[in-house]
Order: sequence, then structure tokens, then C-alpha cells
Amino acid sequence: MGFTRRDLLKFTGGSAAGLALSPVPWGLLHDTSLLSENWPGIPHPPRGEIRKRYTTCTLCPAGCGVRARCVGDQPVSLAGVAGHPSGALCTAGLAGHHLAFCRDRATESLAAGKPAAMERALSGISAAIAACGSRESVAILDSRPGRAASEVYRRFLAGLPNGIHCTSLDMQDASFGIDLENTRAIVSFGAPVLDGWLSPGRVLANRSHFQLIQVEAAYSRTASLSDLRVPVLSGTESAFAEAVVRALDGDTSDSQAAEVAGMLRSNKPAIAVGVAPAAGRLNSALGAFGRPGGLLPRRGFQAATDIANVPDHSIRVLLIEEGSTSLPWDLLDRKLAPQNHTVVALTPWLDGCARHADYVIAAPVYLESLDEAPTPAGSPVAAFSLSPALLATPPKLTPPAEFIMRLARDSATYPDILKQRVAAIRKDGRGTVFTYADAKSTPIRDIASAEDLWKTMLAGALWLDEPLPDRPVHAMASAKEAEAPTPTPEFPLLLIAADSPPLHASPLMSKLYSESGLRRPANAAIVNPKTGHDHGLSDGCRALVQSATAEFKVQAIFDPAVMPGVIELAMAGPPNAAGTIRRI
Amino acid sequence: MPEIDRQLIARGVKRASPRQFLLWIVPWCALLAFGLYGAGLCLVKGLNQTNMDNRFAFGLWIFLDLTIIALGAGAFFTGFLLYILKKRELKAVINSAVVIGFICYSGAVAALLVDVGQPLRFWFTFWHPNVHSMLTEVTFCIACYLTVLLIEYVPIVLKNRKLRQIPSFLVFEFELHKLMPVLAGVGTFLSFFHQGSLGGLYGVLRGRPFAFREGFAIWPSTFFLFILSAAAAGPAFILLTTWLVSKISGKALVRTEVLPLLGRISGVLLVPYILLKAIDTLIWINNTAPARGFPAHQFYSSKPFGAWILFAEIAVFGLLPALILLRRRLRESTGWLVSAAGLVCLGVALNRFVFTIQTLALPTLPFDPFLSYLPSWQETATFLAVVAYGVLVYSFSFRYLTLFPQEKDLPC
Amino acid sequence: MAAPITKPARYGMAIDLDRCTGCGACMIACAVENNVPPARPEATPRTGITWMRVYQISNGAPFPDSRAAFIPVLCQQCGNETPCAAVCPQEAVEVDPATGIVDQMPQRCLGCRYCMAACPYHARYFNWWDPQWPTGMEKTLNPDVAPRMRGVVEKCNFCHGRLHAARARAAAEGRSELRPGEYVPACVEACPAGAIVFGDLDDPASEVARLARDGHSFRILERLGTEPKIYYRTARPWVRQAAAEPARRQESAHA
Repeated sequence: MGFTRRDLLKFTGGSAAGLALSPVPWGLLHDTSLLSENWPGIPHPPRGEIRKRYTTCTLCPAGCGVRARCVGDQPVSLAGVAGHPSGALCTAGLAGHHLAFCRDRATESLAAGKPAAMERALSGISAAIAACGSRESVAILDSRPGRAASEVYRRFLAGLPNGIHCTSLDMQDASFGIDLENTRAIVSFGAPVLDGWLSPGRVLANRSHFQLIQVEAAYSRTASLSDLRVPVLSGTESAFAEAVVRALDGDTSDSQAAEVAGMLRSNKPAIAVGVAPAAGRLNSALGAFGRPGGLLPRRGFQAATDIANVPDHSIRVLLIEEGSTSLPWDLLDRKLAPQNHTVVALTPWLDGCARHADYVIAAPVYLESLDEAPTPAGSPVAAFSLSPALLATPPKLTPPAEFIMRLARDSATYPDILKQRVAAIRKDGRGTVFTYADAKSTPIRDIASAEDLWKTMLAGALWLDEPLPDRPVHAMASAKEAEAPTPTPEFPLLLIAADSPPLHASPLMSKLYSESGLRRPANAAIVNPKTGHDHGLSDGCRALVQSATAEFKVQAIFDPAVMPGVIELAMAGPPNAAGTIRRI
Repeated sequence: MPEIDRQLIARGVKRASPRQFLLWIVPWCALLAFGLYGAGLCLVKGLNQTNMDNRFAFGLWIFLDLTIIALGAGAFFTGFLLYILKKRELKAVINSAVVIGFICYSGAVAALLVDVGQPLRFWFTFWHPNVHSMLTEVTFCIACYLTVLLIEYVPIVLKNRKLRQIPSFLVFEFELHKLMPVLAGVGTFLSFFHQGSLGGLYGVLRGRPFAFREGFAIWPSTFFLFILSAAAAGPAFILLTTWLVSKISGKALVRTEVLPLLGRISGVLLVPYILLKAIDTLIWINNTAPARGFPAHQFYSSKPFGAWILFAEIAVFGLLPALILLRRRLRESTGWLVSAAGLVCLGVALNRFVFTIQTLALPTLPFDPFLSYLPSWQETATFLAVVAYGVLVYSFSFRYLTLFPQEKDLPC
Repeated sequence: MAAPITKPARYGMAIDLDRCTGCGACMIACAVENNVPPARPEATPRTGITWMRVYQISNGAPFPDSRAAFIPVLCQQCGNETPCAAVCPQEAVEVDPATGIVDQMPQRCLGCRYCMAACPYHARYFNWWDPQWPTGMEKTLNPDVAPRMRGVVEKCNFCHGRLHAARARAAAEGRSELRPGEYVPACVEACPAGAIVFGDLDDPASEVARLARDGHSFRILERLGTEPKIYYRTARPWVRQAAAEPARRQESAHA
């Protein structure tokens, strides 16, 4: 008879029915769900022994203690250390262990943009230094003077005819600690007191003790949470400080200054922080220097030249140790000799100053190599801790201080320098050591030897000096603040800085910047709705901000809290200029 | 090819030439291909291809699925009226209604498989059902009802001129036909429940005071309102589609009294629906919503969802067509009849829209803004694929199967 | 294996809105602990995954009197007819009677997103993309939490992995009770302002129970009857009005 179409149909139908009654479909279904549960491409977190290790955060001058939860040797989460003067970490600190995986890492040293061996960089830079003329200088831009590394820089520069040790940090900030625990009022001239000033743990633990008066043009995070907000345009802070001083003497012609003075009278002792000339003036009037609840001098201060005070066009060789913030390049460019200058970037990152550098010496990031955490910003006493590495140091990276030692033909390593520093501390015999693991404080005399102190510090500890004995102190002279630009008919609005996203941070920062509206993204331009409507904008529209020298594509955001007549730009380092905005 | 084609077409009816049919089919095939591409993108790359987000967890697809299912209710309701209530005039449209129902439900299920994040896990609801969830009920009921529709579709296919020449098919179809009343009864029961549960989906959301309703035992009032509105819209949609097919094919498909009858049924069902909906709305405005801290006017204070939408849903798309469809003279005028049926269908669509889209647009947290959403092209394409699929299935069914038994007795 | 913890608890939180500065440390710590992936470049505030999310509200006054307050919103662990648990068709949401924690099972989730429509606190997040970490960053993932795949819903579960670890430790030491402070979610531990207090609401001696009973405490959308276990505290009347009262919606500074 042969195999007919009907037979085929019967066979197919019978097979289908039979299969449906067999375990095959259920097995297949089960297997597909297993596939959906073991979705390809989803990483499996590695397992291993869970350990606690301690280090100190070096992402900013606060130097908070860190307890790391490690799987094997890999930190998987970071937390603060209970009992430490700054007992909590900030958003950057909590995700600091991700920094090593950020984009734009410099993985090896570069000369003129191409990979170069260390010897080539050393010889090239030494030659440039040797070729300096009589009026030309060699400068090292130190991200934080006062460290053991800074001492290395000073020694190296002292051996040169025209060496300048400079910094961009404000010297007043660096020379005084703040007795925050006893302060009852803070007048902040633009300092982000509640949003990244000193250490968040310490500031917020004391928040209920002080009144906060925020004097700045932008509606910053701190301004939005302040007890009194005084909007003044940048460049007029000193004038306002003078007005407050007059109001403290009884002159009530400026009502805002009078209100501030009233708060200062009812909440003593008070201090001023922020823009140096204004804060210094007010602190002098308040007698804040050297008294409890005020600004306290401490040991170990090391002055360095403010880069702004270095004569223009005088630096032949500039070595930049890039810290947590990148300086605007035009500021540094002005200081460079017009021709044949050499810029060396000692940095972990390829963006930032490395873009303008002739030589890039790739440096390790936080947690990749042993580092020091010097006296934390605002600490009332001198302090020191180590930041032991929690990750393996990638090859071809050199800590900046070690590179300078190579230039100085010193064969010591950076850990050697740190060990010497710890030995000096032990020798001075002052102060206490707070160990992170057990939150106990031990007088340093009870630590038997420098070697013991070194081991203790490597396990996570903070040395705190004794306070300086009472003596009169004076404010440091500060450079005048930058003048505010003048609006013109073509550029009627003022560009001011709003809170900006960090340049290098964990990719998880997207939770704050793009996955929620908590922080403005870097392309945000925030304006008062009236200002926005006057310039033809609508909330959320794409716009173009223009100044005399630059233009930026932005997203316009309306906020009635913003001062009319200004554009708050969330990008890093907006130009201090007048500008305008229009819809695109 | 044309010979087979002629043999497949039923005797006594004229159909377009194969070339004309092909010209009709090709654009829909192209649309289907485009739509499948959109759906494929969603399946392969993930649901980020849509414009849905964490606030608008449901979008175009859910809105259209609910509307399609409500309109496809004509299948169960016509079957109920014909086989249970013995309204024999509806024999004229029952086959078409079944095919439309099948298209609507199979299309909706296909769209749902694209809509869920992990389609491979579709069977989890059957394996780990949550008896408290309306969506479990919907899943079970729709799956069962789709099976019922498939079983109801099979005899229509088997009655094809060529296929009925196979004796076993003819016998099978005959036996199946004896089951029709049972199937219709089961279908009615299942459909009743899932139409209701689709309403219950939103009525039980205590976290969404805009949608939340109190009701009877575990069933919120929307459960019953959705059943009633689907029952009213079903016949209207059958009316509309029959008229549309008649217009496109240029043939009289049903006797003149059939469409007005469908219209009257729709109108009769609209009246209790409008009444109950109005009462429910009043209770909701005065009691349910304010008791939860949400005064009702707040729901209508954001553009474009002003109070006009409530008025439109109840009066313009509910009361107005009811009044038209209940007047014999207006029913007998095709223009009025079809317009009124169109209004009823739009009204059901508006009602589903309000529950799916407006519910999610309105803020619940005190510091949330009103949200807007527009579907992406991939979402629209996927829906168009369902439409194209429907047109293709219907076109082939219309050409080769007897969807309108009265057609061959009517003048061309 | 479950530890022989015999004492049931009803875990909850009291969040002090007067201390919260909106820094987002809780958001970051939560993402680190729970292996939440960083955003794709195309992600927006409506397609991101933020189990803990801090919102900003304003007192409504224009310049220069504007002031802000910050409200951390996470899963409120609703205790009465938990909306998401009631609606999930696959029973992928489990309310643990011993702890009151509302747990989400991403391995069972179909991705129908019905729970997301049901949640009035918008505390549930969908994986619109497959998770992606920069090369090498997978090493930093927490081994106690399984990363999820695309197409499933996830949400805060009070760091359930930490609860399991604490119970295992207690069991190893032969204890049948957890000590206060032995189990805290990551956000509580991370907050630099100490704004979040966590504990057993049913333990009359606990700090969180005392704060919850305090006159300054309120819950969001209380009238919906979901019985959330997150209490918010403020002494500022405008903050309480803006956060608690649905009838008076505030214009948030930016959504």
C-alpha cells in the first residue's frame, strides 16, 4: 500500500498526542526555566573566606577610617569605623573600591602620548630640568602639602636652583583645625558644609549643635538645608563680611548683615569658613582664632606657595600631582613658560591634566598601594594614618613621591619614607593611637617601638597629636577673591557653579546622577523659572549656554529656589563669566 | 494555483480573484513582518526597547490587550445568546464572531508573551498559582478560553468545501458541533470570569486610589462593570466588523434584521452598565477615594486628563449610543447604527485606557509629579503585527470558510 | 540552614528627615551590598534601579526662602494585605511571618510588573536591561546576594542576606536570639547622619519602637491602610505636610 499522506498525518498526530502525555514537555519546560534562571552573561560573585581589613580613605582630605569586608583579598564593601573622629563614609568612600575599575585609567607611563619606559621619562624630565634658564623655575604642584610625600618634593626642589613647591589648596584651610564640637554657629562663605566639607560623619554628628548661615549665590545642597540662606554674588563675599562686622558693632543699615549678626550674637562661639578673605575677616572680628569653638592651630603645618601667586609664564617644568579635583587648565597654562615647557602629570587618570601633559607617570589609585592619610581637614590636632593597600598594585604604576625620588636619584621606596615618618612620630612620643579594629586608644608611649607602631598602623590605626598649648594666633593673609564678572547686554546672566558630579567615581554613582533626580547631571543648567521664561526656555528643554569664551550644550532645569539672573552650571569648573542661554 | 483556490472557496459565493486577493494580502504581510521585527527586538534586546518604565509599568500593550479582549467578548456573548438563549438570528454571525474572538484572544496572548520580562517562565503561573491574585485567574481563564475558541474554530475550518470531503473530518466536525452548547456554556462561564478579573485587576489595587473600588466580597465593582461593558461592546464590535467586511468585500453578508438586532442587544446591555457605572463613580468620588486621602478632583487636575474624560466615557460614549441603539428608527438606519456601535467600542476602549494608562499617570506619593508616556515604535509595531495577523487570519477565513451562512442566499 | 532563632520580630525603621541631608550614601551602600548594576547610558530616573531612593521636596517658597528636605524611600514592608504579595500571579513575593520582611524572588518572577502597578510607594524596580558591570568590577560583587537577570522585578528586602548571616553566626554560637544591632541593613550602617534607626518594632525596649510611637513620627500614605513599617520623623510642619498628605502635592524640585 505504501506510506500515504494519511498515514503521515496519523503518525504526526499520534506522536504529538503521545509526546504530550510523556514527561518530555515537562522536562523541556523545566529546562527552559533553568535557562531563564541561569541567564547567560550574569556574573557569579566569587566566593572565598570573608575577612575584615582596615585602611584609611585617601579620596579627599577628610581621611576617614575604613573597614573593608573582603572576600579573600578582594574588598566587596566598605564601611566607616566606629569611634573614629569621622565615623562614617560618604558616597565616594562607600564605593571607593570600584575606583580601580573606572574608565580612563592610565595603565602605563606615557611620553608624548605613547607608552614609555620609566628611564625614558626620567631622562627626558631631568634634561628639561637641567635646561632651565635663570628666570625659569621647576615647580611641583602638591595636592596636599604637609605629607611625607610633600617632604620628598621639598627636598628635591631645594636641591634645584629654582624649585617652587606650590599647591592650590588654601593655606588658611590647611593651617587651622576647627573645634566643630564646640562651635555654635557657622557662617559659610560658599563652603559645602553639609555636603562634602571636612568629614561628613563628624559634621553631621554635630549638626544639631550649630546654626548654619550659608552665604553664597548658588542654591547649593548646603544652602537648601541651612538655617539662614544669604544669597550674595561671588566676588562680593568680602564686602558682605565687612557689612556683618559693621552690624556686629551696631550698624543695621544692611538688613541681611544685621540678621546674620543677630544670629551670631545669640549663638556663640561662632566661626566663619569658606572663601578665604571673607572668612578670615569675619573670623578676626569674631576672635575665632585660637579659642575653643573656633579655629585651632596645630602642629605639622607646612606652607607651600599658592599657585595663583607664582609669576605668570615662569615655570619651565611643571610636575602636577593630581589630587581628587582637577584644576582648570587655563589657570595652570598661564604659569607656564611660553615655549619649551614640560608638563609632567603624576596621575592615575588619562583625562584631567594628563590631556595636556608631555609625560604621564601612571600612578596607583586608592587601595592599590600603600599611601598616607595626613592630618584630616579640620582636625583640631595633627594626625596621621596609613592607607594600606587592599588590592594588588597593577604593574607599571609608580606613586608620585617615588617618581620624584627617582628623579632625585634616591633609591628608597615610598613605604620607606612612610616608615621614617612613623618612626619620627614614635620618637616624638606625643599623642595617642586609635586602633580601628577594637576602637581603643593607646598612649603612644605604651607602644614599645617604631616597628610595633608601624605594624599597628598597617593594621589600621590613627595617631592623634596632643593639642598645641595656648598661644595667640593670627590669620594668614589670603589672596583677594576673584571678582565677579559684570553682565553685559549680550551676556546678561552670571554663570555660577552648582554641585557637580565627581570626575572619577564608582560607576554606581549613576544611582545619584542618572537613575534618580537626587543630583544634577553634569549637563544641567539650573535657572529661576522667570529667568528661563525671559530667555524663551521651557523646563527640561535642550539649551545652549554661551559666554565670551566658551559655549556648552545643556539641559535647562527650572528651579524657583535659584537666584534670578544667574545660570547654575553643574559641570566641573564653569567659567567665571557673564553669559546667556537660549533654547536649541 | 487558481484551480485549488476555486475549489477551496465555498459554493454559491463569489470571492475576489486570486490576484486581487494577493494584492490585499501582501501589504498586511509586510506589516506583519515589520511588526514581528519590532516584537523580535523586544524579545532579543529586552523591554528597554519600549518606552515603559518603572512608573509606567504597563503601557500600550496592556491597554490594547484589555480593549481587544473586551471587544472579542462578542465571541462568547454571541455564543451564549445563540446556544443558551436560543436567539437563532445570530447564527448569521456566530462563525465570524468566533473567528474574531479567536483572533483577539490569540493576538492578546501573543502580545502578552512579548510584554512579560521572562517569557520562558510563562508557565510559572500555572505551576505556582497565587489564589489571591486576579492575574492568576485571568491567566487560567484566558488560557482555557483560548482553547475553547480554538475548539470552536476547528469545526468552521473543517466545514471548508475541500476539507469536508474527508469523511473523518466531517464526522469529527459533526460530533464537535453537538458539543457546541456545552462549549458555549463553558466559554461563557470562563469569559464572564476573566472579563471580570481584568476589571478586578485594577479594582483591587489599594495602592492606586484612582482605580481602587470596593465591591462585593473579594470582587470590586470594576469586576462586574467590566463584564457588563464587555457584554455590551461585544455585539457592537460584531456589528462593526460585519458591516466593515461587507463594505470591503462589496457583498451583503447578513439579512437586514441581523445588525439592528445586535445593536439592540448592545443598547439593552448598555443601560444597566451606564446606571451601575454612574452609581459606582458617585460612590468612588464621595467615599472610596476621599477615605484614602485622595479627593477625587485631584485625579482630574492634570492635563490632559480633565473631568471631560469622565463625562466622555459615561455620557458621550455610553449614554448617547445607548439612546441611539434603543430607538428602532435609528437602528434601522445603517449610518446611525454603525456610528453608535463605533461609539460603544470607543467607549470600552476609553474605559480600558482610563484604567490602564490614567491610573499609572497619576501620582500616589505626595511628592511625585504627574507622568506622561508615549509608546515607542517597537511597541506600536508589535501591536500592528497583531492587527496584521488578525486581518490575515480573517481574510483567509472569509475567503475559504463560511463565516456568514446567509451570504449565499442574499443577492450580490 | 535556618538558625534556631525562636523569637519572631517585626523589623522596621524610623528615619529622621531632619537629619537627612540627601547625600545618597544609603543609595550607594544599598547598591554595593545588593549587587545592583550601574546604569546603562540610556537609563533615566524612571528606568534606573534604586532600591533605596532619596527624593527631594521643597517648602514651596520661592527664592530666597526656599528650603529643601530629603525623603529616603525604600520598600515600606507593608504589613496589612501587602499589595504586591496579593497580586503576584506566581507567588514570587513572600511575606515572612517571623520577621515581617516582604521578600522578592527574582528567580520566580515572570516580569509581568503587576506588583509595580500595585505598589503605591514605587519601591519596586524592573530590570529593563541585562545587568552590566565594567570589566573587572564583577570581582567586587557581594557573594551573599545573587545578581538578577533582565526582565524581573527587584526591591529592597532589608538586606536579607545580612539577616541570614547574623542568624548563622548566632546559631554557631548557640544563641536563639539576635543581639540588638547585630543585624542592620546596609543603608542604616552607611548613613553618615545616623538618620535611619532599624530594629524590631515589636520589642518595646528598642529604639525604633520608641521612635515609632513618638508624636513626630508618621508614615507615608497611611490612609491607604497598607500598614508600612517605615516611620518618618520630622519636627518641621511643612515637611510633614509635604510628605504625609496626599491631598497637598508639592512641586518637587525636579522629578
